Amino acid sequence: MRNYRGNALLIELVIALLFFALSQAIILRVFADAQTTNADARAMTRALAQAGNVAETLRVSEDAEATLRAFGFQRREDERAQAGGYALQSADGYLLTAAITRFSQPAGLLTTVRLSAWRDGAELFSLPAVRYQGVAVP
Amino acid sequence: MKPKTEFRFGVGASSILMILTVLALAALALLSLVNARGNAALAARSRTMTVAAFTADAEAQRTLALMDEVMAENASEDWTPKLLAARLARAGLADVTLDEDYHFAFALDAGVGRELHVEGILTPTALPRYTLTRHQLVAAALPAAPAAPLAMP
Repeated sequence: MRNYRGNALLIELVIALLFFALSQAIILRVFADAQTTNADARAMTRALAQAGNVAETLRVSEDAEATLRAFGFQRREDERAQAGGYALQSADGYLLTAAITRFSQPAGLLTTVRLSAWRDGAELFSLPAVRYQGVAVP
Repeated sequence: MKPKTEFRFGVGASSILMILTVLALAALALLSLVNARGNAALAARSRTMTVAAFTADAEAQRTLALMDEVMAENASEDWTPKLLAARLARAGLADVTLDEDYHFAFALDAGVGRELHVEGILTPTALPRYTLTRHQLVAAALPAAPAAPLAMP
């Protein structure tokens, strides 16, 4: 009888451990997914804040290139930055790129800077910073 | 003499302990996942709002550039508000309102129930040809809630 009860306890412990191990494999995967999702959200939020800051400054800046360099952008031949574009690699795991286009008309100059954020090769978002400078003197 | 009672770790106690532990850890994992998804949804909404706001601002700048171009192309014109409004409408700026004092105004959709309101004054015969007096992001007005009774009947 004692042997039977001891064997039953041993078998129960083994089954409990196996079930525990299986459940922990699933729970750890859920934790890992949560961590990945948090990291992505954090990178998106920081990239958005930085890009918004740069865009707000470009909206009132007379020299787009100087403004980008002041923020740490570097001229880079990158397929995402496009030819002649600027790029800034962040320590938070995202890349900001800036592409400048200018449209000149007799009345003034329209400067458009397209700011894009990239993470793991995928584009997070893209927003325009446009400034129109009309002719101030004849 | 009192018989000595042996204490045994009973069959089933370990299972109960294991089940309770797994349930607690599963609840914690689910909470973490729900919190992370909430953060991701918030970040996505923030992205939508920011991109929409800057897109509206870019459209406003293009509108101002087009208005400036219309006035510059016809610099020798004998401007009246009505004539200027007609020229702007012909250039595709029918949404820009212009009053008798050359005050212009237009509004652009900035997404998520917001509008970018731009107002200013046009001076077609002088430089600069326009001056901004308002550049404001306005949220849509919430529907008025019925007033709560001050005293219970």
